[in-house]
Order: sequence, then structure tokens, then C-alpha cells
Amino acid sequence: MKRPANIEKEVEQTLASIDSIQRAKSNPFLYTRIMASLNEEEDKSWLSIFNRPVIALATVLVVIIMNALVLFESSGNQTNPALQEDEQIFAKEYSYPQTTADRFYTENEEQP
Amino acid sequence: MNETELVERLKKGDAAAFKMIVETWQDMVYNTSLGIVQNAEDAEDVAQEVFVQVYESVVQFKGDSKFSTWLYRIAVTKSLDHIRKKKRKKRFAFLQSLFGVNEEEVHHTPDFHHPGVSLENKEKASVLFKAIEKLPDNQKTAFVLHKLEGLSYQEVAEVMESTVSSIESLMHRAKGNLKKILSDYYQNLKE
Repeated sequence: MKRPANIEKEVEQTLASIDSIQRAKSNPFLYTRIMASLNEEEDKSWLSIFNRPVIALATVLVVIIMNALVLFESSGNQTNPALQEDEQIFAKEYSYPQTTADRFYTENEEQP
Repeated sequence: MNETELVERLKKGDAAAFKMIVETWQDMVYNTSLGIVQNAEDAEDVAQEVFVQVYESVVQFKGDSKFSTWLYRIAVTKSLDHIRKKKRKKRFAFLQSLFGVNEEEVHHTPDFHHPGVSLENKEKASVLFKAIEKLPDNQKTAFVLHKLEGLSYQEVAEVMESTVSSIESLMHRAKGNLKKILSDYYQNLKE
């Protein structure tokens, strides 16, 4: 584009260039796009709860506490004499080796 | 079915009412957004965001203003937010290119051609849109609503929650700034 001879006139004409502008038409599939976006947001919404720091921290804490409980329970069971006695009776009845070491020797015994 | 009935039905979750609302006002929202963001794809994204917000927050619409006024407000806010986000991204990309992180060239926006402009005015309108882009947000909003959407000063004032006299003043300043920008532009062209 070259510099116009009459700049003032050019400016006025430029300003008037949108005086008879028509409204732009949107994509006819806009509604479909909107509905797809709404459905996508609905799917994400239940997961987005974990984006909140308080919820995320609470979830981590619950998992840690549950793990600790399971560990505590299992170690408690091992030292419970009543349970150990039950296990021994059960093992004797079915001729099952009572300790891990017994089990190792039984499994590796040479067959005649 | 009138505007109030449509809105009431949408508040009750009526999908057919929502479809009717989109079909009735989609061109208005798109054209407003297109005037501000000056990019067809971006304007479509903004229009989509506007209607998603309408669907999600229609219960907050108390009917103090016309539904179309409320829609214009959302469209303007979303469009201006979109421009801000885009500018931020551009600045970041420019910084990255300076430090050699992003070796890609920082692209300049191509000339915008509004589809509603007649062929003989196409070139001049493109220059004008470039100048509109440089206006402050409130002047740009008032200018687009008045010139592109054909709203009266009273209607623009309702959308911008302002008075008619301040819109008159905004438009006066917008025209003054545009004249200056355009005059500088033409003076800097080669002879």
C-alpha cells in the first residue's frame, strides 16, 4: 500500500468502511460443539474434586492411615499366641510344615 | 415462546430451551466476539465458552436486565479474557525464543478480514480492525458493540453497566484514538 495523497480523507474513508457491515454468521454446528463440551465437563467433574488441595491431602492421609492399620493388624496377628496355636494344630492335622524353614526343606527333599 | 419463558425453562434444565437459546443468539455472540478477538477460530471458541457458562450459571440470571444484555456482558468478558491469555502466551513464547528454548519463530497475527465487510471496503476495514485492536479495552468494547452490533448508546451503557454520557465520552475518545492511529499508519507508508 502506498501513502495516500490526502491522509485526512483516507482516515475518514477507513473509519466509514465498516458503516454498512453485516453480522458475521457463526458455525452451524456450534450447538453440537457446545453439547460435546458440556458432556466432557460432566465426565471430568467428579475427578476434579481431587484437584482441590484439601481433598487431595485428605485422600493421601486416609491411604497412609489405612496402610498403617493393615500393617499394625498383620504384625499383631503374628504375635497372638492363640492364633499361633490354632495354626500349629491345623498344620499338624494336615502334616503341613509349620515354619518357612521346614517348608523349604520339605519342598527341596530328594524324592526316593 | 418469549425470552423470559425460554430462560425459565432453561433454569429447569430443559435441553430444547437451551438449543433454542443457542440458535437465537449464536450469531450475536459470535459477531461480538469476532469483533474483539479478530480471529474466526478464537471467536468460535469464545462463543462456545459463553454458552457453556450460560448453561451452567443461568440460575444466577435474575432478570434485572434483558437476557441479550446479560449474554453481551458474558461475551465481552470472555473475549477480553481470551485476548489477555493470548498476549500472555505470546510474551512467554517471545521470551522463550530470546533464550533459545523455543526456536520456532514468533508469529505475527495475520490481517483480519471480517466476513460481513463488502469487497470494496475489505482493505480499508482490515486497516481499521488493526487500529481497533490497539484501543484500550473499554473503548474497544463500546466501539465494537456500537459499530459492529449496531447497539444504541443506551444499550451499550446497559451492557457495560455505565451511563449514556460516559459511553458518549468513550466513543468520542475511541474515534479520536482511531483517527490518530490511522493517520500515523498512513503517514508511515512509503510514497
